[in-house]
Amino acid sequence: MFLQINHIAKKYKDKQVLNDANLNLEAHQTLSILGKSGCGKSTLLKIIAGIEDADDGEIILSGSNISQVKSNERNIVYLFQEPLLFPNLNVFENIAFGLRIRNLAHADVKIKVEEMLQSLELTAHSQKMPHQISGGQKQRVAFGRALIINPPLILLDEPFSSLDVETRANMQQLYKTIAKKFNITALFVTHDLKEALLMGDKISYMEKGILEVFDAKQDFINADKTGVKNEIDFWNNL
Amino acid sequence: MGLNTKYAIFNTSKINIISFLLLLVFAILPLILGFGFAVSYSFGLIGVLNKGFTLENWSALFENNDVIVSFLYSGWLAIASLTLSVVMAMAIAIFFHKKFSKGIYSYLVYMPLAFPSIVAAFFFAQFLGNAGILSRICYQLGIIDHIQSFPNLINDRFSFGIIIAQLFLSLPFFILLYTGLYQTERIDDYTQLANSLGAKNKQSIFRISIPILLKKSFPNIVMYFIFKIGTYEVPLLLGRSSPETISVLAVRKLQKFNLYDIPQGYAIAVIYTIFIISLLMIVLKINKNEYDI
Amino acid sequence: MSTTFKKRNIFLWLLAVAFLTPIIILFFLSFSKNWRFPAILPEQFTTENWSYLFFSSGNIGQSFIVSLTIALSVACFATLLGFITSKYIAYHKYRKKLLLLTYFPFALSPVIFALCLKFYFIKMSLIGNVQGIILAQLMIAFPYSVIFFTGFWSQRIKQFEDLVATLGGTTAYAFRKIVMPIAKSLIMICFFQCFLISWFEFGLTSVIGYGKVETLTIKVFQFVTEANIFYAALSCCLLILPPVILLWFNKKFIVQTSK
Repeated sequence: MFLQINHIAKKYKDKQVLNDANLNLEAHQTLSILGKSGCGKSTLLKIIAGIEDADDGEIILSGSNISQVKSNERNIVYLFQEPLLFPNLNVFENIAFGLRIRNLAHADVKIKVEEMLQSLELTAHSQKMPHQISGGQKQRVAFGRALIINPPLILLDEPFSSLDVETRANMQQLYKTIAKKFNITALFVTHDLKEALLMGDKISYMEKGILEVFDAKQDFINADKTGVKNEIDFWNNL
Repeated sequence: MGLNTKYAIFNTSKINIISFLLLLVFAILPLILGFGFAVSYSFGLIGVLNKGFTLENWSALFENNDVIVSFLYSGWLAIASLTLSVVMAMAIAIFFHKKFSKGIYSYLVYMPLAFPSIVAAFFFAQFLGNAGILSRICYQLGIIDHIQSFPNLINDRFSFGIIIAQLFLSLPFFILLYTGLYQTERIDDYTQLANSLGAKNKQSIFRISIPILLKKSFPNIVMYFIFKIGTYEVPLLLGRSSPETISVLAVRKLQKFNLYDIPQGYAIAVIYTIFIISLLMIVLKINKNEYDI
Repeated sequence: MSTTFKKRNIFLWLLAVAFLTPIIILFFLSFSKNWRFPAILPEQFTTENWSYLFFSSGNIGQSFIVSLTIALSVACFATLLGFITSKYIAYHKYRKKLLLLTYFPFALSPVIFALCLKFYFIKMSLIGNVQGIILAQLMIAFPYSVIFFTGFWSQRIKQFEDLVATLGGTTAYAFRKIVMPIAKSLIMICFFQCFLISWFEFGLTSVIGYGKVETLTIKVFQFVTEANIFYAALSCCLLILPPVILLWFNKKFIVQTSK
């Protein structure tokens, strides 16, 4: 078991945002977390990434308990909803950022970044500044920046929700391709039913701070609360 | 969310201790020490002529009307110049907002901001004084025939000079404020909407533009009022010996050589401080989200 | 339609005249010597006043340097320290209460504030010297700087710091590589605004300076009380010179807005 989350609880002001959250994730798999806004999904991801503290519970990565480890030592990348590109760096430098922190030689950085730019079809834009590229392109850069340092775990917080329908479809396709290519292990949070089914190898549903993981996709489809049945009925009754 | 983060280490780091000390030394401590000193002195606990705790300085203060008149006078001056500035600036924003977003006027409006109070005071003394420029122009035009015929515009009963000088200094600030608000609050869109619903221009202005601008600028106006109450240089040069604004009165009592006046001066400082802090707390409570400059 | 247009433009022109005239008049006065009533223009135009500034052991030139030194020091310290402290406040649990406290010294009349603290300055031998004035002015400029920067440490900047952390960087690295470059233009604006707070200051400076430190603003007052309007005008011209230059570079440098 690559990632284990045990009994995570978090209270914010008077609201119990997370209530005994548990999940297991095997390596090289993507787990979708479906849930409405405000149900606690972002908080869970932030706790795993180390940028927020849990009130209770533990996080076990590759067998070691990382609950007390500082966020910049966990090697877990968190991708924000809005593609957060550093406004003072161009596309090339944004992607290279993680490599430069690790003091990689300039020549090596160049090779790796250019390879990544090609995978993301961004070579033509490598010298542009963030304000000069579109939303979809920004999200691709954010991906590239995260993937290039080969993190064992990536946390995606509704990464496509700010994009238009067509771009979103493209990005979903791109993610699936890249996930296979780089053997990514990831948690993918979304409030979109279709996206949850498409992106994840396994699916879970979060409601009011309680997380339920489904062993098989069919269980997920059959469960009433996930809403899949309603969708199917809707299309059938048309 | 997000402020209760894993910054346990951050909270005890050196930078935080330094920041806290800086805040203490430069912001919090001076206030406490200064206020404490003024309070103690006014109650006779310390000072050159101290005889121990006494209320006589405070009662002496209220024996004549000097202090109350001074506060009212300062308030009146602030309100007068503020009202003129707000009305003029709003009118300018409503009718001319495009001219001030770029071009020559957008630079000209900054000119008075390059003037410190004392330079503005000096200038208007030279411009409005009996032997000043306006007076000379009137003489040349035959409006007056004697230097004494020119009316007193500075050091006068109505504080005309002070109000004009304050207007000169504050108008640019409010023009910038209202032309900026006009854009960000999309007043143009709203007035077009109102017009499409049948409102005439005048109605749109009084029912839409002015209320929106006033509501959004209210905290600014009150803050400006707070600053203007304590104005010093302009009333010093352009005012009369009585009534005096609070700052001028306090400085006179504290700097002149009548030692008996000094405790009273500190009492005035105490009243002024309490007044300002109360006003400030009210403004900042109303304006919960915006604390930045 | 065209007549209302003209009428409106006249009003604007009057405003423009009203804003420009003072500078022009001050400039004229600084070049004059004799100006008896009722002549509108001075009887003598001369560059004598300005040469007095440069060529005598004369006080105005010295005051200019003193004012400049004080203002630059205050601006440096206030901006730097304010930037650091504002981050501390922005992320603090009691952010709102701390900000309220920071507002107080800034809202008080500087001259009254100085008079209440004079005793302490005397005890610390900071009366009548440049260091004392710098310290006193910092008590106004530092709170201003803190309030100015508190808006900068928004959710967005915090997200950048978190992002750098998850990519493996330390807080210091994030500060150096990302936060500072983004804050650069804001830092410049704060620097010049703190400079102007100090440059324009009169009351506080006269109290703490105790007549021994003569900044340009104090010089103006002196000349006014001596009824020497030509030297006063000259000092005024020097006083408004830096702000006008700054305005030329960036309008934002000289506006101190408060919400």
